[in-house]
Amino acid sequence: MYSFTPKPMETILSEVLIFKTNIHEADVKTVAVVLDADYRITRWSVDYGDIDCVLRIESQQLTTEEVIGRVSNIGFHCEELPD
Amino acid sequence: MNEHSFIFVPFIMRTRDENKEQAIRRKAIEMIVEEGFDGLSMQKLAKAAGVSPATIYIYFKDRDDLIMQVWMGEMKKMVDAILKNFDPEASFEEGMRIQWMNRAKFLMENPMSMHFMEQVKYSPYHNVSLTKMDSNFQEVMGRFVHNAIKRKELVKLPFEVYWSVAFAPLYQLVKTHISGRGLRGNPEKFELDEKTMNMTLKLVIKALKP
Repeated sequence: MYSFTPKPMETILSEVLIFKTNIHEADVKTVAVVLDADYRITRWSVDYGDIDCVLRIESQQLTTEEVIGRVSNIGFHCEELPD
Repeated sequence: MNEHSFIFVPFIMRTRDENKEQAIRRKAIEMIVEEGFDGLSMQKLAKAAGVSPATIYIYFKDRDDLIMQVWMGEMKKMVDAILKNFDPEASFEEGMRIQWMNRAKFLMENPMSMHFMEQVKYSPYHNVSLTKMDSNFQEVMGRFVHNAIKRKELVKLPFEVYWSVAFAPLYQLVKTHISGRGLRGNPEKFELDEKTMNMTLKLVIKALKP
């Protein structure tokens, strides 16, 4: 008989990267041009309602540094929001 | 962190922690019930749940997403509770008895959840929540009602009228029970027990007979 013990922690396959930014609702198109074009990004969103304008990225391959580089390149502030 | 340190730690796998997610959901409900939707911010919620704002964003992309996901979670809990031991092929009276017991038990054990779901119902989130209703639940309930109508145990009514007669009395009794006191300044404690419930259910069944 099989006995199945569920794991207490489930690893999400897609990495979630979280950043503090100054991207506001009016900037969405500018940011979308860069983020939509990256095939490694599964999903992204910005919480315009939060004071930290939190950018959330789901990706399997991107690193924090790559995201910061891309977003900074188009003139926005972007830093990792630490745990 | 120097500029090369990422070579050694390219990225840290963030993991889903069931306990943290549950704590976030529980605290969110508490804050919304106590302070309303406007009282909820990711920053405040993080503090209350004992996690960092970044942790909340692992699970939820913004406040609206959080509220909707929390609603779906509570709805699922309630639906599972209502359907426990419920057979849509059962007689109308028996099916109603099970549903009343299940609904009352869930709501009395989860008053925060009930309050939160009521708040959603009377907010702009309601329209979104309608698109996320559990279709299996609606199908099972529909089958139960149609069976009862076919067997001439239930009068045919517009859905809203049926629902109001069938369940609103129970919900009002539960609310009075949760408030802890009777109506009209009745100083005596009101408790919804099985006897009171059966007494009311009998009247409801009678009212719904063709």
